[in-house]
Amino acid sequence: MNVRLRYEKLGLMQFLSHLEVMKTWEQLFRRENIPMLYSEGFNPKPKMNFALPLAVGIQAVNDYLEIEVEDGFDTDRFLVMEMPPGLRVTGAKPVEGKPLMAVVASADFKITGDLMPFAEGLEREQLLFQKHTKKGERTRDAKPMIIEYQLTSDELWVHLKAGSVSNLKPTDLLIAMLDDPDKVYDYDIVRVDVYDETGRSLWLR
Amino acid sequence: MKNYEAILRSVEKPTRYMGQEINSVSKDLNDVAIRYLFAFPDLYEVGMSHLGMHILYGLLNQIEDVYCERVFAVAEDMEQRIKAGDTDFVSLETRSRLKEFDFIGFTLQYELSFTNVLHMLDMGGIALRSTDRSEEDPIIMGGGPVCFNPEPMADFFDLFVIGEAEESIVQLMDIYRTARSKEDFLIRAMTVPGVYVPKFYRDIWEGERLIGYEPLHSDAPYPIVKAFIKDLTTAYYPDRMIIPYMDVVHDRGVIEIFRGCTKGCRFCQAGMIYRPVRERSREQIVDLVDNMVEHGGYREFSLTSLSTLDHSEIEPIVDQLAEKYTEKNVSISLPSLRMDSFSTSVLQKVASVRKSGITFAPEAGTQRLRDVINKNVTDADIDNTMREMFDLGWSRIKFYFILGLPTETFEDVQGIEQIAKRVEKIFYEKKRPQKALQLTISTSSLVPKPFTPFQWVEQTSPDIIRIRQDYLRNHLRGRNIRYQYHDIDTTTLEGVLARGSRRTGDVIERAYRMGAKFDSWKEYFDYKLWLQALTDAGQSLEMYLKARQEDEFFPWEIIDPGVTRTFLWREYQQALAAETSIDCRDGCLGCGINTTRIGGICFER
Repeated sequence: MNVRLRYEKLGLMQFLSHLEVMKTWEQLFRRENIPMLYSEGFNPKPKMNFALPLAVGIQAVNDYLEIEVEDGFDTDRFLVMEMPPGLRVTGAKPVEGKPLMAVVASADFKITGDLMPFAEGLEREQLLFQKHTKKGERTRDAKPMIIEYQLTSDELWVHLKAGSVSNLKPTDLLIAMLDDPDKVYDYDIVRVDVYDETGRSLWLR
Repeated sequence: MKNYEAILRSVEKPTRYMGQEINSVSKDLNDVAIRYLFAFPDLYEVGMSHLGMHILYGLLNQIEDVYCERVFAVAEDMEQRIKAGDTDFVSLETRSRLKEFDFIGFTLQYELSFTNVLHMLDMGGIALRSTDRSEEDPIIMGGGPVCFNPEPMADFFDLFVIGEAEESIVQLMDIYRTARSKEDFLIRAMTVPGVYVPKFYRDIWEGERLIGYEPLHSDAPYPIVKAFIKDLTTAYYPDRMIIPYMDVVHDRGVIEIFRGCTKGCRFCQAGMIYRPVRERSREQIVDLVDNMVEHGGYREFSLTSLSTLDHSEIEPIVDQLAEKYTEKNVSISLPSLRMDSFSTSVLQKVASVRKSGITFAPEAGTQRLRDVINKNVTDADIDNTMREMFDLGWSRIKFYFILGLPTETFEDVQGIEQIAKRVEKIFYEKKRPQKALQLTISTSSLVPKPFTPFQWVEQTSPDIIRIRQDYLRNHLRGRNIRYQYHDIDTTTLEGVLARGSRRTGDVIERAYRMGAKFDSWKEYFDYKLWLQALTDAGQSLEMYLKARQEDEFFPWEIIDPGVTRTFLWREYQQALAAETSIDCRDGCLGCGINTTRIGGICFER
């Protein structure tokens, strides 16, 4: 049985890398005696996959993972686990179909901090940033990957393309507008939700 | 000062500094009388794999009015932020500065971490030498195996606990509660087993020769007798360990099943200083594993000790645990395997979950040299064990050897090559389902350690070691065999620091001032700084690496480890004659620990 979990990853949890997040969940499930199913082979691993790995330094209100467990397991058990501070399960349900990773198309973010540079920045024709690739440094334009945005006096909300086809990291968008790329670390960034190609939250899919 | 979150976002691997791990302890500072900072002089991912830290952390935090926090050395990116004034060097739990603690307790696990101790004190704004510190500064404590020769670091510490600290540290907390001043505390602390307060002793020299110590206070014991736990079954052991978010060096639950070792390998310091052997009972071990795995969620746990298969009940313990945890996909790891058929039969039971690589330590290439070091393994043992392992499906094997052992000749080095080739031949003597043999031969070089039978020997010169490494590098080649070896210069430095005296502190401080730190990390180690520091201090490598006289007084003999000098000398002479000694489980060799410390027999069959 494949179970989709929706969870918050707030506060200090932002500092975990994706590998650390995976390890944390695996240990958590073991402590809670969740009957996970394992891969075959010399080094069996739980069958677990994530919608869209978060970069270090970004929090999430609605993040998703799917885990295979023994058939008939009561999914409400996921809601009463003892969690590390900052991590909280907000939903669990059995699902079928394609892995989450394959259906991700966009994600939206709330950004707080010094918003001054953005009023002008977001108006620009192009928002160029440098991307490290296997072929070296390459210049990319963030602008076409912004789906929507809204700038208020206390936060910037952005809806960005995400997933395997086209993906814009919120930090790259900010760097394109900041005079000093190191200032990006001063911003609190929270991912609000992740959506499929029809704009539907992954939870509702 | 910047917001700490912003700092953490800007550095590599911020989970190193984050704290708040599962099973870490949080207390209200208003309810705390004594603040203790456990300091590990290396990065988080190294320090968190250290069992002693988990024990002391759990033990101290059990005491209601004591709060033990942690701090580790920081990586270079974080150090730069601290030096730029963007943030402070702080504890993991409450993000307090070092000066806010009553105690800072460093654990010294290896000599190459000495400069990191100075580095951490410096970053915390604390004077390096105890004589330059004031009443307001924290008490700087040291412990761990390296403290069996505390002298090189004596000037930087206020107090050492020599030996196993579990009971002594609790007594020290009791004394501190009622102490009127730092001085009053340090004087009263000397009544506690294993406590050494360097400032109450003077080292006495005749020219270049240390001849002894003079206690400077009527309460200063001399020598200082090591502290040890008489009964391990009643000693504190944590039922849970802090679970790092980060991928640390050894990411698993650790259960210590016994202390001490009866094998008597003559190069091994741990085997001498942690006598006598003391076991935990089978029931206790199984309970500890259950608790640890339940609270930890580990995919692997390790039954640790100096020679795990020598536990008198190891077979029923492994049977019971394997039966329970195999179906839960939790694997059991057994370090320090012996080369005999008992090992393979036990291994077979634990390997049903994950069949990883297996490590053995024959230590020397020929029977003669193995007799010299009292490693009782024969060529036939090696061959038979390998044949059984391969038949059971293993293919990744690692062998540890030591170069530069006393009396070692070129034939002994060739013996290592011959073992490797024999093992390869055994693998291919028949068709096997395993794809291919992956054999790793790893050599370190002997650093003669205090309180071992080899404390008198000359450390083999770097030039000779280099020739022997080159030989093995050129002859251990091919698709199936890989050769790894330890860096020669770090080994030489380890030799300097291991057998140093109080005068070595000057060299350590000079090297640190010139920029030495993280000496155990290849990318940081700068041998030239150390050679310069030695020269500037008017000292030489030769002074440290040379052979010692039979009657020479050693700097570490301010400590009494329970094992007598007579015993060590006798073992050394037998080594030179290539005569082995029996395992102490088969008969007493009179090392001294039973007569002087426990008043009876160490071990009954």
